[in-house]
Amino acid sequence: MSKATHILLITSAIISIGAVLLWQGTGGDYYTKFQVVEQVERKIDPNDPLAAAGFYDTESTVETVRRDEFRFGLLPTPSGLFDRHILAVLSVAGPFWGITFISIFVDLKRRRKS
Amino acid sequence: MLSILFLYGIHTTAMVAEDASGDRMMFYVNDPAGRNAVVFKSEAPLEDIVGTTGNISGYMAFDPTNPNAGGSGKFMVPVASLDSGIPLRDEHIQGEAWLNAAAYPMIVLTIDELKDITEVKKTDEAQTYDVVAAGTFTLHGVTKAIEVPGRITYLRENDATSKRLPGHILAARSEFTVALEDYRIAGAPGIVGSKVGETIDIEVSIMGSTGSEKPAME
Repeated sequence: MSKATHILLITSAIISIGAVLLWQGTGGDYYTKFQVVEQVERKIDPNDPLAAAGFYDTESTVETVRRDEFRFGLLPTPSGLFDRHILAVLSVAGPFWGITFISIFVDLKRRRKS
Repeated sequence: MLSILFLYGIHTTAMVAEDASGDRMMFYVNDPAGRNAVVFKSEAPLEDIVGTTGNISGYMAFDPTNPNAGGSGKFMVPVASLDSGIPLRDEHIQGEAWLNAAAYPMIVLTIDELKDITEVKKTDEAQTYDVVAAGTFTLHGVTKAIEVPGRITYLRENDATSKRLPGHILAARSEFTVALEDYRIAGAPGIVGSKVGETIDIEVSIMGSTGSEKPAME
């Protein structure tokens, strides 16, 4: 294996580990998100006229919120080439591994010839 | 993915005429602040999806002086307004394989009758009832009869209510489930049952008021 291939291999491994750590550190979702839609428990304001009227069964209710939050996903979901949703473990680490495998393949071919 | 949403009502020019009872108040669902919410949830082995929209318009007709006379309503949600937090997924939801927004741009819930009306709480200022709303649900161009449980609360106009909406208020909430197959939504091959549930849970929480503008919906 050539020195260049060695460097590519190590670089790919480092980038992959970094991407996986970022993926896990930001929630471990399948898809990259810049906005999260999720349901959260909210305590009902006792002064809410609806609460006083019996609209709710309990002292808290589930509310669906949308908030800006970055989650680095395993897979990209871009609507176009320049869409920021193209960022993901696969799209970041994948090209490095692609180049690395090509480099390994070329090295092997050269070795067989020689 | 699909969502589901609904809305009451809509052909604005015919709204009052649609109400069978002339004694019912008309509560228009048209909150410019977007505080009304329809939430759709899909649970599948590979992925759980939560989406929402605040783009709901329509009306509810109800007579708080005679609650047992029932009520009616109609709610509409544009398919294009559904937001799952991932733009590409939203595009897929609106696409031909799923909700086909181009051909069927609206999701509509029409309430023809309120039945099984049970009083939960009643004061001089407010009335709350558990009800079963019977009507039709239109999704993906398919209209089916539906009965959904819900709770409605009437609030007489006062200083507190005027901070939220003008006029008397009628709030409603409901949770129900629809099966994609019932509405001929096949989705992309291999997705339903793995990444998207075969049924979608829908939660609706809306407020209409007598002082709100009639929604301009088509």
